[in-house]
Amino acid sequence: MTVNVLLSIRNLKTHFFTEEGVVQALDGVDLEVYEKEIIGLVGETGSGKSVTALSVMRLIPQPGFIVDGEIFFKGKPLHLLSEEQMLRIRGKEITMIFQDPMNALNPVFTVGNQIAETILLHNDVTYKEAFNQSIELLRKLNIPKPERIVNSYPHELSGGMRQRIQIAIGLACQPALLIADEPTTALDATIEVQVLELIKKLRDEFNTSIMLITHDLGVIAEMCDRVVVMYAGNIVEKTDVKTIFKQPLHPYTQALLEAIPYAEKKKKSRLTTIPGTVPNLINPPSGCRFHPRCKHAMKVCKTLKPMLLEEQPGHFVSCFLYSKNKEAAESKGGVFEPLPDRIIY
Amino acid sequence: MRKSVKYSLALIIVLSLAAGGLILLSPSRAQAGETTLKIAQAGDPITLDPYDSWDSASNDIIVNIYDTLVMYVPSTLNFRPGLAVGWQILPNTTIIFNIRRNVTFHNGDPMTPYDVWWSLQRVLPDAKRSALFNSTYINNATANPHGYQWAELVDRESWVWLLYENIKDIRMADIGFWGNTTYTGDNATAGDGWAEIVVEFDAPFAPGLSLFSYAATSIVNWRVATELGPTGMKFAPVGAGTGPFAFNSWILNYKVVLDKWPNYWGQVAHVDHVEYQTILSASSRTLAITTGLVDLLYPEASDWYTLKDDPNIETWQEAGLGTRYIGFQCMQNVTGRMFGILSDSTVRKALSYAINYDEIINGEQFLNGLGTRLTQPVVPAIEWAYNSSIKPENEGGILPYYNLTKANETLNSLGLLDVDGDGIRDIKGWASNSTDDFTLIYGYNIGNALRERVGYLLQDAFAQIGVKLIVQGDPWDVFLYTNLAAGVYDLWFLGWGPDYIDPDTYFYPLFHSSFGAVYDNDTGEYTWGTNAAGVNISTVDYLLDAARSETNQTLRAEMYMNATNILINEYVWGWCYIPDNTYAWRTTISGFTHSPLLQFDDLEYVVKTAGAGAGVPIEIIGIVIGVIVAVAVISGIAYWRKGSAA
Amino acid sequence: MKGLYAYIIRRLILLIPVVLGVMLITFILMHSIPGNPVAYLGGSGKLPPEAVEKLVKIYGLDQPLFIQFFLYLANLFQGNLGTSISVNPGANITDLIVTAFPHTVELTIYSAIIMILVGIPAGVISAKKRNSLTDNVTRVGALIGVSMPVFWLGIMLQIIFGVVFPIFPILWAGIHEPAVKVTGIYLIDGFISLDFRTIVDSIMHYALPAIALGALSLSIVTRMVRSSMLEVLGEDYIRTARAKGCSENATIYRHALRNSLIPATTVIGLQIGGLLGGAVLTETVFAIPGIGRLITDAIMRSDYPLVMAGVLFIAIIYILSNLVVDVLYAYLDPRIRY
Ligand SMILES: Nc1ncnc2c1ncn2[C@@H]1O[C@H](COP(=O)(O)OP(=O)(O)OP(=O)(O)O)[C@@H](O)[C@H]1O
Ligand code: SF4
Ligand SMILES: [Mg+2]
Repeated sequence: MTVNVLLSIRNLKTHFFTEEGVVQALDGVDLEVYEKEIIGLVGETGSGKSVTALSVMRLIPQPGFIVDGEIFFKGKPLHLLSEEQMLRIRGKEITMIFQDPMNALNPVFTVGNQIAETILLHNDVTYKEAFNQSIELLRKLNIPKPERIVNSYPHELSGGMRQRIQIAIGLACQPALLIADEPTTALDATIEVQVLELIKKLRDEFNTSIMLITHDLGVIAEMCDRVVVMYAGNIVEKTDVKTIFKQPLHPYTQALLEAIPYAEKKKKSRLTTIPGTVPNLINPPSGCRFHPRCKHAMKVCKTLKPMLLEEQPGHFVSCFLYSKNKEAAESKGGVFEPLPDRIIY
Repeated sequence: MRKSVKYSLALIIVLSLAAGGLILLSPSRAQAGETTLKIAQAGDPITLDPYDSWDSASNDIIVNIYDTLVMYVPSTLNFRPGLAVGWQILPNTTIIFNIRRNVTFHNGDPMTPYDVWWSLQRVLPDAKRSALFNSTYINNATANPHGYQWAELVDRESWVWLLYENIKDIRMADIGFWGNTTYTGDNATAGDGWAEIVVEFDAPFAPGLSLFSYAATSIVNWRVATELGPTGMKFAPVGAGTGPFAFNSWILNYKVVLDKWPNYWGQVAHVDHVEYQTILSASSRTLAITTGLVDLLYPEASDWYTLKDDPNIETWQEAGLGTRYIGFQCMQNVTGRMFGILSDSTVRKALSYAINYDEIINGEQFLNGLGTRLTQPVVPAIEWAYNSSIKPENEGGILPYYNLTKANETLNSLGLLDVDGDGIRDIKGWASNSTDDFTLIYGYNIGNALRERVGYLLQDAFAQIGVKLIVQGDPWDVFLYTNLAAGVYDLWFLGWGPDYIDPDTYFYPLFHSSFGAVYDNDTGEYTWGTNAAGVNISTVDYLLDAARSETNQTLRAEMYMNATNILINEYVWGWCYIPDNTYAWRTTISGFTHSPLLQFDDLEYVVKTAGAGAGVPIEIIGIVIGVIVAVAVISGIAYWRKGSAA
Repeated sequence: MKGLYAYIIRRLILLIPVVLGVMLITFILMHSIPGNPVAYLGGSGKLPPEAVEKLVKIYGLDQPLFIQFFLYLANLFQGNLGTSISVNPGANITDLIVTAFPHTVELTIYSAIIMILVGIPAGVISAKKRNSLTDNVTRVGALIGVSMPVFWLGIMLQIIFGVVFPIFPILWAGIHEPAVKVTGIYLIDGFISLDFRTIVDSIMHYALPAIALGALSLSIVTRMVRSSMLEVLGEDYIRTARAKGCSENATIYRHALRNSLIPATTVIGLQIGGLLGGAVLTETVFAIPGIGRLITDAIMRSDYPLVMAGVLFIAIIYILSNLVVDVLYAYLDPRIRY
């Protein structure tokens, strides 16, 4: 498998300028997506997964701005494109589907209309042709009775069906990258399996790269090639899926995995059991943002910020426990004594 | 893009030209040359049937649709022949009218003495109508096929029939040419001599002639009336009148339109139409005349000075026909309160000095200059009975003026002193050694702000002369029929308007003892009378009775002036003011005669010249609207397409 | 759709008890405030007491209240609304309403055009450019519009556009009467008879009153559309639309507008219902002989039968406009089924 980089994000910083203060939602994210891979983004709620995805789409809601960093898609600098050029990329080259199937579809149009709209936007076809294409698309996605489905309104469909429709909308123009932001969180277990199957099938049939955002380590284990772990606007660990389960390096990742009883690891399991709370991103903790909750926290962790460095081949970690960061910190005079008031669990 | 700009321009031009062109071709442009006199009214008329009209809005229209037997020389109160070419007043209670010939109704019917007789009979109170009228024309299936019952006496909404109560009979006669015959509608037109209408009163009634100038006695076409019935006559009296303008249409609550009647027997109207528009809002009426939307109106008091200053508007102000006075309770026995202290004319004199007449007439809170001092029962417009030498003392006359010193002196001279030293006079010196405070009650009808303010003005002034005044407001019917009749008030504010144009109407009902409140021994209640002050002076009674039956106008004038002198020296009223008649009209009309009757009369003499540049021409408006619409449509489409493209 | 028809019929049947209730309440209220229609006849108290008594008898005002009420209802069911007592004495009430209502309808049409064509775009643009200068100007404007007294605005408009810049006629009175009166709505009559003078005159004469009357509704609608638009713009499906590659305008006009119009429809519908019920002050200031002025006049002069008929009429109009709103709702929002 040749490894071609499809999307690469460099030092991305997205901030929200709210009335309470500047929310530093992303604080230097580095990440790349290869062709035809499924990359998982995992992290607690508020860690910046969705903001990362929306930054790529250039759909950060008000009052958010990309304040620094670069995003290259197929070599094109997305962060520099005009809004008009972006219009031609969204929905055609990169598409995104969202978590809540209740609200992600417009309630006042039929689903056929909504699929056809995407086709119309990016192809020179008539509405009728676009509509027929959408029926075809649904058929390709093994959705039963597509002729009837296209004439239904979203509220007439089940949650799983709506999510499939979203996927159909996302795939209507055969994009190179599909970003799925927690596509199955709202679905029950059996439907979830079907939808995930569908997504996997897509990658195989359409050769689409998929960025899968989830809370669910089970989903990651089942679906992904590589995993990125995020914490408070930073990527803390990035490696392939096997390694992350076998040999997690970052204390946060370790805590995540430890928090899940072994028997449940393969089932649906939520990342909610780490002591402490997600930090406030207006005044984030100094140094390593994880240090107030880290049981290995050292004095250096409070003063210096660890970088995402390749500690082992293909395994990037941002933590002072590991050699590369350690060396870098030592040169800056970091003190490697345990923090006196650290959490012990 | 280029192409669409071109198309847009073409569309704009086509649309605007179309709009302008179509307006030019519009059928309505044909009538552009006609003149319409536009009058703003504060309310819709109640009825256009003269016999039952009572409100000013109706009257203003009725006087132009119909004629009466006796009419006025424009802008005066001097009689001139109307539908009667002449009349004879016999000393024995009778008036004989010679009816004008060759007069046609608006539907082309010739007017006959028969119509006159029918119209006058209709006005009469039920009991006074002749049997002939009832049997031949009301209860006769041929003459009255629809069986309309002209309202009986008390069913009517108007009170005008009250005026005709002392008419004994009205009949047709041919004293000149035709001989004594009974007429039907048909043979009445056949004759060619004078026809007469004879009116006979129960008792000698000198002012009788003026009754036949009143709009209620307008002559209507009896055939039309019998055909239309009460409702038709009320709302659409087509062809019913002989006046200078014929009824065209009445859109309820909006406007009444009259058309010039080209066959009018008198001066044929100069304007083609008269339009009476109902504009309820006072400020809108003022704006309407300042911008030229209407030509003529009764100006609003609050806008009077604005209109006066407007170079495009002419205004007219003169003392009107109504009187406003502060009445004193002159009858000692009515309540017995304060021992009937106001029955003493010197007390009334003292109080007359404590009325600030000037403030009431000129004060901004009050009339703001729109009034004239009332000096006697009658108004100056009735020239022949008016004594113009009666003036306030400070102008060299004999009438009280606002002078608290004089008021105090007068009260002191009566021994009405402040015995207990509380600042208020006590009536000890008056009767029974009472130390009661000198307290009076002023009454007015609630809702009349001016009268209320006058009350407080009096209260202040009276306080300075040691008299305590209680200001008491009551609803109109309680004020008038209950409290005033029963003598609850010692003084009160009231107005009077003439029922007919004769001094009699200013004297008899107000100062003749027979019009005082009537006490019913059985119920113990008083019935209101127009002479609420309870004036009971035998000389005055005698003079008023005599003047009623005297036909010599000089002698009558003398009698009224004598009565005036007595009343003034008795201080029966606080002689307050005469509200001024005001009119405002645009300078584009001329010939308006500003009738002293405060009505839009004699409109046939009005000439209207088209005002220069009255607004933007309709073609331009049409083109502008066309352009706006086109631009809006095009830009809307463009915006939409831009929006949904991509 | 069948459900919708059944629903409409159900609502129409419901109209009967509502109308009866409204009638009863109006009747009681009218008779409990002081005032007597006959008192307004004959001019300031000159009508002699005997005449008043007789008139009271003629109009049945001396009967016990409940008998008066049932007599009224009995007449009503025979389609007889009676005659006016004191506003236009003797005039047939049905005629009065039938002549007055088209003017109110026409005024409402113009106001609604302003309200919809200005209010909705203003609300949309304001929401789209949230917190910008445009937005702030619109919001302040809407606030002023909501808080400005209608009659004051009317008089200001008259002075500014009728006196200082004489563009529009300051009064409705004086409008060109169409030769053909089919509907009584002059704009429509003008088109029917192709009398363009009538059309132009109608536009010119209704311009100021429509602005004066529309200002309030316009402001309400603008605010409503703005807030519901903002709410809708935060919805997930708007993000979906953007993610598809819809342009800003397409997102707003195609995806957001229709959704945000759903709540706005209620407001617009009720506003129109309210306008149809009569715009008393506007009609008075601009001398429009419409239904609002007629009914207020009737209330002022205690013209019982005219008040009853007017209230009945307005109640029905209001209920019907509510019904129309509900039906529109079902059309705009496929989630709603009756
Ligand atoms: N519109 C916004 N205004 C202000 N702050 C925002 C906004 N959107 C996101 N944020 C901030 O950005 C941070 C990251 O949010 P994000 O939605 O990316 O989290 P997430 O990892 O996707 O969480 P979840 O699992 O709940 O989806 C949060 O702390 C949040 O406070
Ligand atoms: S850098 Fe320090 S605080 Fe941060 S994860 Fe590593 S050990 Fe814990
Ligand atoms: Mg998220």
